[in-house]
Formats: sequence, C-alpha cells, structure tokens
Amino acid sequence: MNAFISQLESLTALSDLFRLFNSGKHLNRVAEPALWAELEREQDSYQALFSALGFDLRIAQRGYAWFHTDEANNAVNKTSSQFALLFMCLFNTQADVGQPLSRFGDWRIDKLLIAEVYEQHQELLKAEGLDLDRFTGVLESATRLGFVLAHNGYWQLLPAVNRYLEHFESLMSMQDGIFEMQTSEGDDQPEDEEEYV
Amino acid sequence: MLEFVRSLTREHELGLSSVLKARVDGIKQAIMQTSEGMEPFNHELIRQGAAHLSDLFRQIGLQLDVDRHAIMDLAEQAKSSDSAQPIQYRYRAVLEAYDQYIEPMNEMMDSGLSGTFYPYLEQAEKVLDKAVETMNIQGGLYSHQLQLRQVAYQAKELQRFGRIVAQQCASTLLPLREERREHNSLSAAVSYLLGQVRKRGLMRGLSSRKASEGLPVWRQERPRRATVGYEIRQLMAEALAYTPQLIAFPDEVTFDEYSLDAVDEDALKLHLSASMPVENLLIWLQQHYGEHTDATLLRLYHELVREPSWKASHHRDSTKTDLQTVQVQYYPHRIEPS
Repeated sequence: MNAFISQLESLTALSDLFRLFNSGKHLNRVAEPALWAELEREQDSYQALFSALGFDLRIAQRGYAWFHTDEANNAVNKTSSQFALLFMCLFNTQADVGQPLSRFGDWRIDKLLIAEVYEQHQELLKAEGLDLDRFTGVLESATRLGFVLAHNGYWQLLPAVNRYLEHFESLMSMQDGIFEMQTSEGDDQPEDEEEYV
Repeated sequence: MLEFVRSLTREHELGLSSVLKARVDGIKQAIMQTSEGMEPFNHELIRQGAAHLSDLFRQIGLQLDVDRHAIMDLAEQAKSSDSAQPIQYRYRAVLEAYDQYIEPMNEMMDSGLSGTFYPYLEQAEKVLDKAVETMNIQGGLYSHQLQLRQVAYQAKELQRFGRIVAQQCASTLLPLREERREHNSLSAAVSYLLGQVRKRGLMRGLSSRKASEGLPVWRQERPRRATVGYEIRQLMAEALAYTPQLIAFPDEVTFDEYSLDAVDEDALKLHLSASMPVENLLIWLQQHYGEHTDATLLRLYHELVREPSWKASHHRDSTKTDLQTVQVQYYPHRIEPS
C-alpha cells in the first residue's frame, strides 16, 4: 500500500495529464515539452494507471499522445471530419506551391494562406456549409484539441496531424487494393455500384 | 440518361472548346437578329432574338460548369496517380487539356482585343437594354419587357461565372503544368480524397469500407464539476464541534389516577346493542355515561359510529347538545342493528 502511494506521489503531472487527455486534447512533444518529458519519464506507470482506470493512453513515436477510443459520439465524429477536410485542403494547396509535405510542422499558416486555401476549395467548402469564418473556426477548434499551435499572428501544425495523414494514406491504399482486385478480375464495373443503381 | 447520372455524380468528360466557341459565335447572330427587330420595330424578331440569346447563355453556363468539373477530375486523377509513374505520362492528360481547352478558352475569354466572349456579352447587354427602351417608347407587353430584362441579367451573370471558371481551371491545372507540385503518396492521397469529397460529400467521401479504419477520434468527456457552497463548511465545523446534549430521563413518575377515565367498553357495547335502536347516540351516551369527561364521551361517540357490528346513519338536521363543559353542534347519528 505504501509502495503504491509513494509511486503515485512520483507521478507529479498526473492531474495535469489526466485533465488534458480527458478533455480530448492531444499532447505534443513540441508544444508542451515539460509535460512530455514527465510523461516519458514515467511512461509505463502512467499508462498502467490510466489503463487500470479504463483509459487507453496511446503514445506515438512521432511525439504525440492521446486517450484513444474506438467509439466516439456524433459531435466528435463531425469535428473530426471537419479537421480532415481542413488538413486535406491545406495540404493540397501547399503541395500545389511545391511545399514539402513531410515538413508540415515548419509551415507558417497565417490568415493570408487560410484565405488562399479557402479560395482554392471554395466550392467544396461551401457545399459543406463552411464560409471563411467557420473555416477559420475549424482551425481554432483544432488548436483546442492539440493538432495546431497558435502563435502570435499565425498557426503551426503539430505532430498529432500525423493521425490524419496516416488515415488518408490508409484510405488511399485501400482504394488501390480495390482497384487492383477489379482490374485483375478483368471487369470494368464501376467501383461504387450502389451509386449507379 | 447517362448524362443525367453523370451530372448527379459530377463525373464529366471535358467538352470541346470548339463547341463553346460555336456557341459564343451564336451569340453574335442572335444579337444581330435582335437589333434588326428594332429598326423598323418588329416585336416578333426582338422576342425571338432574346429567346435565342437566353438559350445560348443557359447552354454556355451549363457547359462551363460541366467543363470545370471535368478539369478538376482530370487534375485529381493526375495528382492522385501512382507517384512512381514518369512525369510525362502522369501529366499527359493535363497537358493535353491545357493546350486544347484552357488556352483556346483563355483566348476567347481574353478581355483584351482578341477575346470574343466578353465583348459579345457586353454587346448583347447593350442591345437588350436598347430593346427594352424601344419597347417602352413603342409600347409592348410588360411581360415581354420583363423577359428582355431577365436575359440581360443572364448576360451579366454569365460574365461573372465565366471569369470564375476560367480562373479556377487555370489555377487548378497550372501547378501541374509547371511541375511545381510536390508529388508523393501523401499528396496523391489528399487529391484523391478531395475528389471523393467533391463528388460524394464529406461524410461519404471519407467513409471507409472497413469499420476499423474510421476517422481519428479521441475520448472527450464533458467535465462535470460539483462545487460545495460555504454552508457546508459551517455544517462540517458544527459536526466537528458536536457535543451530545445530556438529557436526564426521570427514573420514576408518580402515577396520577385522576388523569385516567376508565370505561368498560365491552360492557358499553353490549348495553348499546341491547338498547337499539338509538335515535341520538350522543344523548344516549350522556344519559347513561354522563359521569365521564366530555373528551371521553366524544371519543366513544366517534368510535361507536365507526363500529362495523351495527349501522350508523346521519340525521338530516343538526342539533346542539350541552355536555359538562362544552356545547357541541353536530348532525346526530342514529344507531340500528345492521
């Protein structure tokens, strides 16, 4: 019992970390180095303690961590799909001007760039009910959840964005798989049959 | 049918720029027809010319929209193609589209001297305005005037739309043509998914066939916080300082015989059943047990009325009876065997 209590006392950032993760936020090494160092120092203890309490703490090697769940409510799903749209538009615009996508953490995202991204994908964003103000609002809520860091006058993408990038690539590779399957079968049926019925 | 489905799914093939060119040239003829109708004033010619213009504007607008989607589709395909493919092959369709469609369209939409699109539209607007004016002077149906104004408005709208489409198409294809675009598996995935979202909407465009491949989500608990008011502090302080109050229970109380008013109720009930029917229960009690206190009499009265072994019924009128110390006004009960 005493050993347990002394172990708990050594987890100095326990309440800070719990509050952060439980609010849905992602912890990034570059954004909060002190907390990250503390998490890394006692990683096993934190993970064991949280998992005993029913929380699944995931720590990615690229320097971000979050409370994982497989089921989310509608609000989280909607927010997440808007984040996905935001990041896709941003990456598409940056790819067009030849910015290296792998170094997205170095981009300086200011209002000017946001306006340009919006302009380029205007039709698509309007169809999703996002005007420029709301589009910027999505970026701000991404800031609250630890995907983006707000600086004075500009924003910076955080490593947690990798969760989305991995998702995009896995969707794409799945698409490739389907395509290969269809071409090997030699039929040229449309990919999405229910759409044509 | 196929065209309709394509327009729903926003999958189009790029039209020929020459078709668009022919339609723009058609504007010129319709303008001539309309202006012929004004000198001398020929109502029918003006109407026909305007209807022709309106039809052309609608077709051009529709084609511009279709072409825009087709160009986006081309660009998305090129962007999302295998990153290992050689660049000439990957962008072949884009380069062709640029040379065969965008360049002629830009030429046609050039606002300078060589362009035909905007001058024609402006000319059409002027002619239509003039036709409205002439019709005002010469007299004509109000609905015809409205129709002409409507067509003039279409011309304005088409100018705006044409500018947007030309700009969008050029800005979509230019980065590819200039080979400025960073191309790797990530940018390919992003382009592909954006195309899906454009065609199918956000939720369906990003949905996946495998349930395990959902969007990144996170656990979000709404913080619920209960705070305790200061009243609780006082309560707790009082609880801490609680000392039980000593109450001395009396060991023995002397029994007061006078406080008891003993009634042999069984005997009373037997007596009552023997003397039934009783017209007024209270009077009967007073007559036979008048020595008891008022409270005892009234208690007996209420208990006997509720007794199930006989039947008690109300009198219609109230009466007053003097007891030892009090007077009661009541509706007397009559007791009879049940």
